[in-house]
Amino acid sequence: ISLTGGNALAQLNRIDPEDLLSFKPVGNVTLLHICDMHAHLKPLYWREPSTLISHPSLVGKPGFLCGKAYMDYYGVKPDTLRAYFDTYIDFPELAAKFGKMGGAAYMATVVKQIIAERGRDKVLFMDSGDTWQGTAVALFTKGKAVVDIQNALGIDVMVGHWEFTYGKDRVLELVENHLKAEFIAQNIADEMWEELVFQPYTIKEVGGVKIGIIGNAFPYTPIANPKQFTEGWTFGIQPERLQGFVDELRNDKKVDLVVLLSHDGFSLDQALAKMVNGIDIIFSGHTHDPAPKPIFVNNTMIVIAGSHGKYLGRLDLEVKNKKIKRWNYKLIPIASNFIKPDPEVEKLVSDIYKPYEKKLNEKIGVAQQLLYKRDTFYSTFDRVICEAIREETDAEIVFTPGYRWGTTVLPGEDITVDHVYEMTAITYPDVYTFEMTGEKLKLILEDVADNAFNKNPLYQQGGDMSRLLGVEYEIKIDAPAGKRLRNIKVNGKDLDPKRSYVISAWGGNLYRAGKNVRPDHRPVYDIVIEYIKRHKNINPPTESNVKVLDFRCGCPKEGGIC
Amino acid sequence: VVFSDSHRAYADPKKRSFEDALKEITKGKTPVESEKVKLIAPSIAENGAVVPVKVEVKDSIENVKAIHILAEKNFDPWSVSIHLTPANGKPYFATRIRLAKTMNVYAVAEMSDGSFIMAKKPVKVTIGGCG
Amino acid sequence: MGRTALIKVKPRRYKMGDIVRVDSVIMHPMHTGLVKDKKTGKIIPPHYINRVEVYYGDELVTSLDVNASVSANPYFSFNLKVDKKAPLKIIWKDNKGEVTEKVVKIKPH
Ligand SMILES: [Mn+2]
Ligand SMILES: [Mn+2]
Repeated sequence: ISLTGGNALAQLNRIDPEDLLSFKPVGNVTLLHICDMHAHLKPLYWREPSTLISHPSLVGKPGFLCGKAYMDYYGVKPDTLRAYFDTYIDFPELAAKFGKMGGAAYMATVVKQIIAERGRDKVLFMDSGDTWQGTAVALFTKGKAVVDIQNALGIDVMVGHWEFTYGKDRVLELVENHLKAEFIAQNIADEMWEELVFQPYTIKEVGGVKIGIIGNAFPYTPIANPKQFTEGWTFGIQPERLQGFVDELRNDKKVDLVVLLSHDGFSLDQALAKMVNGIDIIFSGHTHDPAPKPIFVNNTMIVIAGSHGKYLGRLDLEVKNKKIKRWNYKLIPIASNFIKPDPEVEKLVSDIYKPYEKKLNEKIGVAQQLLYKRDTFYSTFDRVICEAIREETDAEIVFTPGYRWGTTVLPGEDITVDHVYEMTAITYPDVYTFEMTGEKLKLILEDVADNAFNKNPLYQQGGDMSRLLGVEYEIKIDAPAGKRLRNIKVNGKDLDPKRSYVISAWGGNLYRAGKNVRPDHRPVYDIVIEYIKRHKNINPPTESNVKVLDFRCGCPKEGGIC
Repeated sequence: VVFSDSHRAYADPKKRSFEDALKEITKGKTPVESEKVKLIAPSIAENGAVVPVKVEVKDSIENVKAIHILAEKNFDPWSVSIHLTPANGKPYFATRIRLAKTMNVYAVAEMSDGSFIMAKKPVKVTIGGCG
Repeated sequence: MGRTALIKVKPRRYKMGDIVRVDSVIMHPMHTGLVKDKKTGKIIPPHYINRVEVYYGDELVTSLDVNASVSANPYFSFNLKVDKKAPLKIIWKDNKGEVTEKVVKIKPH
C-alpha cells in the first residue's frame, strides 16, 4: 500500500512519506493508541506550548518538557518535521513548509496500512479520551459525529473526560447505542452505594496474547468541569480499587499482560505506577504531551500520544510467559500533506461537515500574528477571547480557562467561525459577570496555582493557569501553597483585598463563588465571533501579564536551567 | 457492653482544637502512626460536603475495639466513632464526612489493650475548574 | 419510623461463616447548627443523627457515635460475620429524639 502518489511537497522537503511509517515490527502484538483528539476530524495547525512551568522538582522531566528542553531531551533536530510537530519553535515557518497536522481520514490511512501489514487479529486500537469534545461539529451533534469517526477508525476500547460534559444520559446513550468501542472505567461509581457505572476492564486476545485492559477516567472530572453533568457519580484516582482489579486479572483471569488505559495525565500516571503493582503498560492521556519514547517507572512502561489527532502511537510487543520480551514504540506524526486520505473516512468527514459548512467556513477576520493557545500563563488567542468579553461586559477583570485544547491560526491566515469554536466549543459556554472581593480573588488564583504547580502529581489537575485580562502579577512557583502570588495589580493599581471587583468568566465554576450575578449571560463563542467581525484585523499583544520570579525562561531544563 | 465504650455525652458540636478532640478519645494517650491502619480518602475532594473515608485495620477483630474519624481543621474535629465487636469479623469502617477546607483526615484505631494507632491523609478541598 | 433508610448486604449470596459487608444510608439533613438559612438569614439549628445501633438477632454487634460533621444522608459501612439466620436491625437516633429503624434478614445459603 502506498501512502501517497509522489507528493511534490514531500519531495521538496525530502520527506519520504513511507519514512513517516517506517517501523521495525516486533512480536505478534500491535497496540495502537490515540488520546485527546478533541474532535479534530479535519487537519489543523496546533502549536505545542512555548511555556510549560512546573514545580522545580519536576522541571525537565517527561510531562514538563517543551521547546529546546524537549528537543535536547528527545534528540530532536531543529527545522525538522519532528521539531514542527513537537515544539513551538519556528512554528509559522515550519507550518508553511510542512502543512497541517492530523485529520481522521489521514489517520485512517495509517491505521489501515498497519492492519494490512499485521492482520486485524494482531492489532488493538485504544483511545484515552477527550475525543468527543473540542470542535463545532462535535458540539452541534452532541458528540455523535466523533463517535461515527471512532467507529470508522476501528477504536476498540476507550475511556473519558470531556465526554462527560455532554451529561451522563447522553454519554450512556452514545456508549450503549452508537459507540462500537467498549467504554471502560474502574473509577466511576454511583455516589450512594459505590457501585461501578461502567465495566472496569475488558479482556482482549491480540496475536494470541491475553490482555486485560483496565480503564481510568479523568479522576477530577467533577472538579474540573461542572458537577451537574455527572450528578450522582463519583470519580477519584482509586488506586486501591485499581490494585484489586490488577490482581483479579492476573490471579483469577490469568491474563498475560495488564494494561491501564488512562486519562489521568502523564505526571499522575507516573506517580500511580509507583503506587500500584503489576501494571505492564499505561496508555496515558489528558496532559497532551507528545512523548516519542516510553518512560519506565518500576516495571511499568508509560506512553502518551500528544493531542488534537496529531499522532498515532504504535507499540509492538513480543510477549512470552507473561513477560514483554521485546518492544518497539513510535509516535507516528499524522502529517497530512504527506499522507493520502482514506476516501471512506474523508467522505464521512465531509458528510458530517455538510450541514454546518456555510456557517463554519465564514471568514470573520485576519490574524495579524500567530494566534495560539498553549502556554502556562498567557496565550494570544486567549487574549483575543478576553478582550472580546471585556468589550461585551465592561468588566474590570476577565477570566478565561487554561484548557489545553484549542487551535492555532497562522499570521496572515483568515480566522473562521470554525476556529472560534475550536477554542470555545463547550456545553456550558455562557459568560457570567459577577462581583468578588480582592481577597477572594487572590484566594482563588492561589488555589488554581496550587492545582497547576503542586509538587505532588496526585494534586495536579493537569490544566494550565487561568488566563486573566485586567490583572498583572508575579509568581514564585516554589513558594508554599497560598503564598505563590505577589504584587497583584488590577488595571495598574494594587489589588485591594476589601474592594469588590466586577469580573467576567466562562468555562469554570468561578461565578458560583461570586455575588450579584448579572442576569444576562451569552455564550462565549457568539461574543468572540462578533468581536472579530467588528475588529477584522486581530493583533493581540504577545507580552504575558505574568512574571515568573523563579524561572528565567518558559521551557526550563532539569534543575530549572534555561 | 458496647454502650460503655461511648466516650461522648451527645453535646452539640463545639469549637475546639484537634488536640483537645483527640485527647477526649484517647483519654490523653498519644496514638502512634501505624502501617496497620489503612486510611483511604481522596487526594482532592470532589465536594467538601461529601468526602468518602474508608478505614481498614490490618489486625484481628478481637484486637480492635473502635475506629474514630477526625478532621483536623473542622469546627469540631471529631466526626464519628464506630465501636466494633468480634461479630464484625474484620475491622473495617466506611463513611462520608464534611470538610470545611483543605486538611488532614485521621483514622484512630482503639485497640483492645488500650493503645491507639492511627493513619492520616491530607485531603484538598478546592474550587477547581481548569480542565 | 419516619425517615427513609436503606440497608444493602454485599455480596447478595453468602454462606454461614462468611464475612459480609453491610452498607447503610439514612435520609437525614445533618444540620450542624453552623450554617445560616440563605432566605431567612437565621442559623439553622443543629439537627443530626448522633447514635446508631446495630443488632444481629438480640445481640448488639456494633454501635456508632456520630457528630454533625458527617455528611447529609449519612452512609455507614461495616462488616458482619454471618453465624446465624437472624434479622439485622439498624436503629438511627438523632439529637431531637427521633428514632428510625430498618431490618433486613440475614439468610445464609
Ligand atoms: Mn485533553
Ligand atoms: Mn482531559
